[in-house]
Amino acid sequence: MSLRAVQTDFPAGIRASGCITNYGDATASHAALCRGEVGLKLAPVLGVQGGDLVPMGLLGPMTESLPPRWLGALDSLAAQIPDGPWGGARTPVFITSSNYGVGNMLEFAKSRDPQHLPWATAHAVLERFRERYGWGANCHLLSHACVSAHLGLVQASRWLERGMADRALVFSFDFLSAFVTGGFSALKILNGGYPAPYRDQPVGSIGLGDGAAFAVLDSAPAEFRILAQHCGNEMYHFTANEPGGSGFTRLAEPFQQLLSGRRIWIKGHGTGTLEAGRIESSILKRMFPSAPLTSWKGGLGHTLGSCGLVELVIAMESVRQGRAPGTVGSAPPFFVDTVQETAFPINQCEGAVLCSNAFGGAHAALFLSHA
Amino acid sequence: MLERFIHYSRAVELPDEPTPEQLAVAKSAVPAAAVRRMTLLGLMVGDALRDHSPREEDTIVYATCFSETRTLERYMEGFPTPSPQLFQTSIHPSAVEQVLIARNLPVDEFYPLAGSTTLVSSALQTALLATTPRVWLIGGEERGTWLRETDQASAHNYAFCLLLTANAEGAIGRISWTTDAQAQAHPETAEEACATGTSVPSLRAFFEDLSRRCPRCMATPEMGRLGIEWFA
Repeated sequence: MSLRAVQTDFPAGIRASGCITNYGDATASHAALCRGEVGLKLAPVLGVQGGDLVPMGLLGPMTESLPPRWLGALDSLAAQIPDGPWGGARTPVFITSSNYGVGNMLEFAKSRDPQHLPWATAHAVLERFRERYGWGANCHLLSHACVSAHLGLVQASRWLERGMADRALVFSFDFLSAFVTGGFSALKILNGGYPAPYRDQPVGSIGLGDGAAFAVLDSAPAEFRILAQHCGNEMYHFTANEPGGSGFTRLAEPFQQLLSGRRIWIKGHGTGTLEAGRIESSILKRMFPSAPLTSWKGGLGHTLGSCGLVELVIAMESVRQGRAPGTVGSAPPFFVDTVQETAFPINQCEGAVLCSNAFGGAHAALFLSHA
Repeated sequence: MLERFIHYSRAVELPDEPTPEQLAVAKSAVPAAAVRRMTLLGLMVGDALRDHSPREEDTIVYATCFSETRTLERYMEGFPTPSPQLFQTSIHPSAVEQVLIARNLPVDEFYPLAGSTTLVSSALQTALLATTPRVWLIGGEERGTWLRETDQASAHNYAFCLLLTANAEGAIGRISWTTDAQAQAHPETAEEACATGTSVPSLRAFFEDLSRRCPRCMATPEMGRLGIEWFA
């Protein structure tokens, strides 16, 4: 079997970053996760419309207000972005989300109130962002379910690598709405059980969470660098992975080659679904037998298209603090013995592999260097 | 200047309400077992890819503003008991995934883009920045019903695909991108790309360009000049 190179090995430096989760900012999120706090609470699956109670990590009641309930959180996050001519010729913006303002679209479908429409589509949301944040026209919208943020990071790196940008902003967000929670509930993936990622148990479940993050990338030396990125799409089934784990293997293979002999830790996708967790953890154990594996979605919930960037920012805070949160909300027996139940030291590690998966058997991963 | 050469182009359009015969033609491009659950946009993307299949090592750039409009409409109509099948089919890159899953075609790099006024330029730029030998640029929309009444859906049914490589030999056209900085440093290159530009077309106008093989040059201060030309 020939080993393949990572698709993007341009060393993009992370110049600035920030995130918002159900716990608060990156510092608060990291601290709460290290304490093992589960930030999810049982709430009606359809928000104010009621329904079964399911675990969610919400920044506030799940209603489709005007302006959207999430706008204040995004405004506070956007205020942390360093000044710059964002959206200008040399400073592109990559906006990534799985759902953009689809909650307002659902509200429009119910009420036919046209005031929801300026927030209801990806391009409408972009125009609102440009108005509020003063961004220029060089903005790019990506939406590939739960690997969306990774694709924004890949594209930002590409623009830097090819000399088309001096700096690039990646801005990712996903806030829960009945559109999404109702869909996951209908798929029976979201139920009354709290997520216990990588736990070997009879029934799996996930939790969903609000999340948003940004990162400013450039090509100058930086404390944190993304040294390699890789993506893959199984195209086996919309919601199930190829049972042999070929998609996970294809994703991990180039990193195994790149990181041979290096001390790393792994932040997996680990939503709490059984089969995906079993396959992901077993393949990561086989390919990185000494690397500790953790997942944070038992505490954060799955923040959907933003998860790749939200968890990257928390990983950077982990490095600053010298320890990474364990697999919050879960407990033995685990599928593999590399799963970390509690916070663990990472001072001796050179970096972390951060993974995300999505509908369609989509996979994405990056290597965050903090050596 | 970045450039790639067009080696295959196919544009597919269906009327507002396709006849069974027209749908049968579109359906013939995908495995019969998958057809029942496919959206109209998925069927048209399948038809656009009728003669070719992306390879695992290819890049796919997908451009759609409204995605699976009819599925979205039906999914939302189903509340408070939404359909799980319609939920998974309503996701943004669904049309391409329907086709590739039906044909069992894994692909490494897949960049689904959204947007409106700059969707075409984003798609061309993403394709030109790709690093794989072959790049597919795929796009399309399906006509909505009640969402169309408030401009939240396309008024037309169409899909297209372009196969792009770095190889000029045998090409039928070319796309190129020259930034303003590059144009100032190398004016002859800018002239080669396109001398004067228009604004970025809508996805529908871009589709019509492809259908008629019309050249177009678009220019804005943020992106520089993007051009598409067709060889005789």
